[in-house]
Amino acid sequence: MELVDLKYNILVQRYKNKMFGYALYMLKNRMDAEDVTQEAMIRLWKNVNSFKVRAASSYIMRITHNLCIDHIRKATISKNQFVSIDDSFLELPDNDETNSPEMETQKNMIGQELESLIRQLPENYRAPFVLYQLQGFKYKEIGQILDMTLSAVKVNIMRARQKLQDDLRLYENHEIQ
Amino acid sequence: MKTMKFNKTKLSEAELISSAYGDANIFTRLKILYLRKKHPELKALFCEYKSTAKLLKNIVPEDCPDTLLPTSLKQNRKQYHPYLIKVLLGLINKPALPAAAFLILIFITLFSVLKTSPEQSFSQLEVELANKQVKQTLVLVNSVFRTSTKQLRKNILSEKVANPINEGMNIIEDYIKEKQNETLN
Repeated sequence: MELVDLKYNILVQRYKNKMFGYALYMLKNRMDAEDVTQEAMIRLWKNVNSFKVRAASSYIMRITHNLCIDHIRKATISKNQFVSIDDSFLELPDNDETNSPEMETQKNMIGQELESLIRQLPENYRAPFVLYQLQGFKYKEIGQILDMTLSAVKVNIMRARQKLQDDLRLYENHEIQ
Repeated sequence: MKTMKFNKTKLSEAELISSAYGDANIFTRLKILYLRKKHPELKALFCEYKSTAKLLKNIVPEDCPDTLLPTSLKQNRKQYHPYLIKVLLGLINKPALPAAAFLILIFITLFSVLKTSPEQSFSQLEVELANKQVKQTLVLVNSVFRTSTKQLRKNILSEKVANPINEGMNIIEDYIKEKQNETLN
């Protein structure tokens, strides 16, 4: 196996889940996320020799981010895609049937709602938030990926957290009523 | 950004959020710990954020479907040992690690080189030959010493030292005898 193949394979193995996860949160749609991930892998293969391995994580996530942005711009995201986030709620049992641990169900519901709320965050909050909170990137790396200053990254993450909290509060109030 | 005021202590919402998510520095954490005990409304807000942070941590990122992987990668997948990849990636992605490993390696090498002098091994034949040569040398040195002693005793001491002394003594004796004769006459 050639060195280029080895480098590419190692990078794909390492970042495939992060690429896919990020695309999934950014595009709110599994199929679009799959398309973007595949496209990102192709771009990575084409440019595998044009970046240093140390900067690989920033480079790969930047490709993925740019492709997601392109995809968002090109496609007019229909309302059905927003609705699909809540598909999981259809599978939940009715309140009357929930004799099983109520708290556990509630927790699961809030967890699912949280995931959907993350997907509904404004794009400028969502990208740094997902990269930091779910993908485990550092502020500095996120700044490189999204071409933002460090303070902008911090502020956006903080605002995303704040917004999520407010949205969750609204959801809980709505559920209680 | 909202700023909350508790007694005389100001606290921004950002500080509260980052503390709940575990990003805040120790001073902010201590401040919030202190304020939490005094203000139940702050405690409730903090707990809300904390529980959300906990929920977020529980979110497991979805795996990338195998269908998306390039075919070459799928074929070669079994060849990779996950641990090997982990170690390799660790070395590649974290420059501090290979640097530290390299320094340790250099240190160990230098230490071992300086501490242990190079040991040479000799064959039995070489050892015997060396012994023989040493003995021969000693015999030669011994013979040189003996010859020198003999020469010193026979030639130098007797001829160069004893004879002139004897001559001198004879001269002195003759002189004394002459003087004695003169006095007697």
